[in-house]
Amino acid sequence: MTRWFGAGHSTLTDPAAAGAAAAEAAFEGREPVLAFVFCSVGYHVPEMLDEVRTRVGPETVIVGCTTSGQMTTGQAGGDGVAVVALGGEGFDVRTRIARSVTPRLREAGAEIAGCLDEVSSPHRVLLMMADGLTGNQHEMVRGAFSVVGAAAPLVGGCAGDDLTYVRTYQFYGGRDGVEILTDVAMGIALGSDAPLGVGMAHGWRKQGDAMVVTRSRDGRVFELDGEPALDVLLRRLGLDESALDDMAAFRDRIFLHPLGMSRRSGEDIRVIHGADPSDRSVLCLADVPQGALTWFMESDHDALLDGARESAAQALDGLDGHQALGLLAFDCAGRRTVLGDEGVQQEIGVIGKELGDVPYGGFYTNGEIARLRGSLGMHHFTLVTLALA
Amino acid sequence: MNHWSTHQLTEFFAAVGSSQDERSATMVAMERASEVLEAEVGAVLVDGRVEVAWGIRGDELDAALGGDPGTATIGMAGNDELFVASARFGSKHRGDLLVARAGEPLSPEERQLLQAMAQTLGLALDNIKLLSAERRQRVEREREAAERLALLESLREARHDSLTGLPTRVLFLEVLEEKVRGGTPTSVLFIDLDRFKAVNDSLGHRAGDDLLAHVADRIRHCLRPGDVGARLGGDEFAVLLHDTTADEAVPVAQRLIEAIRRPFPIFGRDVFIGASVGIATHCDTAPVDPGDLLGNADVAMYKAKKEGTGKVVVFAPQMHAEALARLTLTSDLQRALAHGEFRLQYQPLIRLADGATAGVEALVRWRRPDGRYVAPADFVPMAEENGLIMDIGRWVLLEAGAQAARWRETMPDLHLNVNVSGRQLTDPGFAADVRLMLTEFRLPPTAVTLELTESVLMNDPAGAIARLTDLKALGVRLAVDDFGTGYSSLSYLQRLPVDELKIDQAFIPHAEPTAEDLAVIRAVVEMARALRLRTVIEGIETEAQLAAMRRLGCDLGQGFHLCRPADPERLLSPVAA
Repeated sequence: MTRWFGAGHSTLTDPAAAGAAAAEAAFEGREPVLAFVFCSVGYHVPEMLDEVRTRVGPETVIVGCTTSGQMTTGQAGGDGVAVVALGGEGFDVRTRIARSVTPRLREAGAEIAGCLDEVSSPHRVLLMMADGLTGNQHEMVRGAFSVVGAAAPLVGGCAGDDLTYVRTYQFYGGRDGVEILTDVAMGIALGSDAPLGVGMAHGWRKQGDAMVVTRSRDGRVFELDGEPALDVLLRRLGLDESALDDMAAFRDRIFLHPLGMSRRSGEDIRVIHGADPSDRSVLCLADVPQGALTWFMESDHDALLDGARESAAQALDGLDGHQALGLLAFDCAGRRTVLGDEGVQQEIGVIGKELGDVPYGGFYTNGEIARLRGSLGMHHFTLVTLALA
Repeated sequence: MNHWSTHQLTEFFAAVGSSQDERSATMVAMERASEVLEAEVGAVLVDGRVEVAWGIRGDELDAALGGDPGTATIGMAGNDELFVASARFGSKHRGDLLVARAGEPLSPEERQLLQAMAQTLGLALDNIKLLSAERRQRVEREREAAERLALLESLREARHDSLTGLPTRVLFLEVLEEKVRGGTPTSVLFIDLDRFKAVNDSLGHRAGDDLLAHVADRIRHCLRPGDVGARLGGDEFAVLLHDTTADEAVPVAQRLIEAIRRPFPIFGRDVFIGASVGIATHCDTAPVDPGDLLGNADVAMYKAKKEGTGKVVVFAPQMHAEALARLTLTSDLQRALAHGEFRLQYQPLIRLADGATAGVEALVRWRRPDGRYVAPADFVPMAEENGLIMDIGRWVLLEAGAQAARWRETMPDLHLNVNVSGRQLTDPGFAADVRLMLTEFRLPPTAVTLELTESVLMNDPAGAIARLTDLKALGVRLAVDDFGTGYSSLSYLQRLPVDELKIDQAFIPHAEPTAEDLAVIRAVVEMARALRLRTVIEGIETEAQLAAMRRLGCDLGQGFHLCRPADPERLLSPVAA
């Protein structure tokens, strides 16, 4: 059977109907090896998954999660169900799950990475999907890297709940049943006879002078260049103390000015999601190591769209000239917020233009995973893509 | 491009240095180094072998390196060519910190950073080694110290009293042995507390323990630095006075008694006790057993106690004979009880108004196997002391009850008086014994009067009131025996639930009572009448005394002139008469 990649989307409100419609569009009657189900929060998930299950084979792996938005070929949006699937010869899929991961992210990362060993295809990748509210997810990537090593890339994203930060769910199973879980990490080892390409770009650029993180702990930055981080942030953005009175408005404002950390491969983005006036610290979604060189970042609409193009292009580039079959996308929920509805349509237009008629699909995440070079692999405000040939 | 940063190095040092052991330090080091330098592979090599690896399996890296950390590049399946960089760590080359990166070799700045990290790792490992050696030593030292302490504690427990902290008999005898060997005069004070038992009984054991600890403190304060105080057990203490003759020891003993006589604050109230002290001194070089010396002091203390509370007695050799007699008496009393050598005699109580027999008082007698009678005064104190009085008292109660029941068949108004000792009164089972006697012989409680001596009652008036109240609840009558010989507090007398005063015969010393004699007795009788107590005058030996007592209005009389104590079978006829 020839290799195929399909993506289907439905915005029907009835969970069963939406699940059926998205699955049918993605499968087109074919039996998938691996089916991803991404859906917005609020669906009655078991009914939706039942419809997906009736359309797969006995060996099909079903994984997925709740999101902060879905995208499929030509479509993107907040509400709905997306089913992304692949099948045919030359794909090998193994999975592993780790439960109750919050207190043991590193161990969980190592645990789920174990499935990669069971795949012996010439081209391999470890897809990782996890609860997006578990804390320092970099530890999970570290754990996975300690097992997988440099030989295979790590790609994936963390489940979302439409940016409400209350609870996310993960789906794990097959035709005979799909578990609906929370606080888990899932490893999906994907082996392929044909090359796999990974792309990663964000479209942000440095703004102003570099700063050294002189004091921080995990995601909390206390000092930049020896000065209270919040003072630096307010000054750089031209805000006064009264901006802190309305924390929600302040958060919207600083959302557009993440911190960037200098990496060999470019800048790694850290979303600032709050500030603590009591100790003058600023709070980032992922760790900002003490000693790092950092900038405030800025972007504009066109640059963000260009990031999407860049990510897709990198992924296609990784296929060593092979024809692309499809593309999996893990796009930051923050990018979607910044771009707005119209911008998101433009983004998928850009991706579509880069891919031609190659289908694609994925979701808006609470943290993107891509380890390609070096040992660091947790990202934010980034579009991570995986192209399959 | 990575950036040299002292902060990164500081953070690196903190992370590596805070590791508890060498293995986790090297693990953290190569992880952080590969992250900072964004290398795919990190490793720590020791003796040319990969000890810990990051991003690749150790054995694979070992094979790829071929034992040479200086290798410039390595190739691995599924990966681009990896550029290797390494730096030695440790002042004496303990190993190599290695990173390997795909695509791009380390820049000179990055190599410098790697060098600095390796140095840091070396320093951290040295520190960890020192610290863990120190930690091991500390643990070892702590273990040894704990063992020593436990040993000392166990020795201390055997040789020191946990309640008072004073040496025990064991340690005291050891020290004493050492002192008497020296040849200088050494005095041993044997201290026994007076009324301690009453405190223990009335305030409870915790109060008793508290009191003993306070007593120990007072004893300590009376001693010179070289002297030794000890608790021998119960309420007995001993003191060793070195280089002290018997004459010099007496004032010390008196000071001790004075100190103990001062009130003790126990559970918010002042408790008064006393002490009796016996002294034994060793003053020549002749060998003496320390146990014997302490025993002598004990004998002297016993004598002091016999003479009354708060006395000091110095041991004299003849006291041994007395002590020996005491020992014999104790075993004889036990045998007497077992073999039924006790018997009861009865002395009537005569109503002075009409000469009728109102009742009989049961009096215990000891008839030895050789036929000799032993007077109660000669054995009751000893029985009180060794506790046999409880058994004897119980026997008396039942025997007298049985006899009274027999008499009451023909003389239904006959009353029975039974003497109760101090120890019996404090025995929690005594009231039950009385009840048993009443039911066993179907005696109405009002037909029985329990006699208690004044000294027993006044020793612990508050406790006595409580116990007498219990007895009164049975319905029996209570009498104060030998009234006037102790130091009755009139206020207590008023509060004691008694029915009868037995006026001691000491009040009528003259065959012809003098005006003074009569004045005193009249006062007592009138007081008794005011308190609604029946009066019994003891020891009427002449007709003149009888007439005088009748005139004074005494209710009942007892004495040889009226009727001598007699065996029950012989008493039957005069009583019946």
